[in-house]
Amino acid sequence: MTTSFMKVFGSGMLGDATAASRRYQRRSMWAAALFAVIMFGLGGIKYEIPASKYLAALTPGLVFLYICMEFRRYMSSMDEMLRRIHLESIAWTYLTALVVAMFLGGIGGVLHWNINPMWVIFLEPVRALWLYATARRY
Amino acid sequence: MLDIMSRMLYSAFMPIESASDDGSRWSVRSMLTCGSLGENNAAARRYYRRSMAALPVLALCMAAASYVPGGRYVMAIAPGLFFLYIAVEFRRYMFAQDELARRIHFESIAMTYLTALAVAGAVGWLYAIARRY
Repeated sequence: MTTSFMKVFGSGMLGDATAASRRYQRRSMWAAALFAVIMFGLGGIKYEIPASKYLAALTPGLVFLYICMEFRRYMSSMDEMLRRIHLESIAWTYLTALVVAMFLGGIGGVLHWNINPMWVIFLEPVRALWLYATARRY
Repeated sequence: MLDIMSRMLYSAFMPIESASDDGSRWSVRSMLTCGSLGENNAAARRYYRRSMAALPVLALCMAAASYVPGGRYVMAIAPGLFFLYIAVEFRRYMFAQDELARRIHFESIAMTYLTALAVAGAVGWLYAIARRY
């Protein structure tokens, strides 16, 4: 399978121009934009509205949950080959994450770091790299 | 309708070990306790044996490092190295599985990854807000 590195790394997808992939991209972008508007908006008013703290606490989880559900739907619509490549890249990302988490946990424990779980989002570029590496094998 | 009800009742009350006999060749106990499909092939045995052997090595390293000057660096790196070894072994084990077992593993890991992203998003922001107050 011929894939452009920049295309895979930039989008975390294999550039399949199907209706499902476009829907996934469109909905994820809308969700990310909504997330940014809510969080910057709440930051702008400095959480002065009473319930704004709770809204800020819940929004990231809900947005990610929505994006994950969309990704799952997108995966279900793929053909067998694409799904296999995606599943394999996610599996290797998961193993990479376990190893990195253990390194960070060990070093952080000794050096008294407080590591925010939000950093997990940086696994997405790692997944894109694995996606590229896996796609080159097929 | 009766058939569906009887299946539901059977699923609800059957012993956990016999669940694997109901149309599936995978062991429920193995899935829930080891996180594996309970394959009894050479690759699976090698993976379990090596992972289990690595565990006491890690425990010994951590225990020994606490008595040695400068051992904190060993304590910092040992868990990462241990998991790196297990990850490499798991990868080798996955490549030795048949297509169906590999597919089931991949799918379960993919769902775990998505769950982790959603949970980390929620917990991470809670953590950030909690640290501010």
